Amino acid sequence: MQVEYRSTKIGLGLGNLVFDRGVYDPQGNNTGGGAMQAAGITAGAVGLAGDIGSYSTASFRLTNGAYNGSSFSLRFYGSGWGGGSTAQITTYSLSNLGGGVSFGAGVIGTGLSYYQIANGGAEPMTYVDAGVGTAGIMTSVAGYYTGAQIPYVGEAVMVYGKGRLIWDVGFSWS
Amino acid sequence: MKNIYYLIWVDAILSFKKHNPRNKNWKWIVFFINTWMNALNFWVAFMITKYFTTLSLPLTNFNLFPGHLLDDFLNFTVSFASPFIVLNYFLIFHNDRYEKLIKKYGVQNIKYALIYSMTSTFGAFVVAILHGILTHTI
Repeated sequence: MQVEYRSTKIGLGLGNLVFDRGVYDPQGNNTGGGAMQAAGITAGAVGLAGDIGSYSTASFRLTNGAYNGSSFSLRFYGSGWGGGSTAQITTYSLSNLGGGVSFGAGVIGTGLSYYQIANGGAEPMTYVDAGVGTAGIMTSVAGYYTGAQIPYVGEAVMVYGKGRLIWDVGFSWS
Repeated sequence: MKNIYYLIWVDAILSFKKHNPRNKNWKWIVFFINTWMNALNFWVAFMITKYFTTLSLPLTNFNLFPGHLLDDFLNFTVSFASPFIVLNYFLIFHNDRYEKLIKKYGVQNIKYALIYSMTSTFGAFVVAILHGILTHTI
């Protein structure tokens, strides 16, 4: 017999991801949840990094351009340089990347929450996470379609996500 | 007569490209956003039907991965999003059909995509809260 602890969730900047604290046998031995816990914490950190990245104006490159042989050459541009030049360097916006990551994390988190609600497995915190994730998605979508995010919502969601991340990581390791 | 479904799609594509001209993944992102909104609306219909009637569409219940993180997301995607993934692909992106739709409908004065997205996400949250109150979960 296995007892599965399913209630620990991790809030991300633009949503939330659920991660398992572990799957335990009656003797209390973890029988496989460790990897999921690590994955959850990693997902949380990636989501939070995505949030922070979405507020940056910087850009980055992966290669040194077709003129130089397109070798791998990671470099960040704080000025947000758009690429081009003789070397034909392609740059990527950190804001676009961060926004995409955090939007994706929010979508995954709300999907998990809404499935739990539909399936009858929701807890009070599930609704909070669903609400925060929903608000995050709304501001991300507003950003995509209008070029301007809803004031204060993104920041509020980011603060919530950070608090939840710290609380969840601390709780899972305590 | 204009089709509201196509109006939303055309406005979504044009709005996204207007405000994100350098984003090369616009197809994936717009497809992802609109399909997710469709899924949320389907979820709302599912929840209302489940609460007020005895009819309840069966949910998938895959249990393929350790824990439930990936399983829950997979189940939501298969149960609520998968029909729209197929529908939206064939109605919008197959054979670049969106190009014909953009020519037909053009730029809109009303922000259909934004209104649809905001209504869908906020509506889903309201339904979730109401469901939680009515079922004494919260």
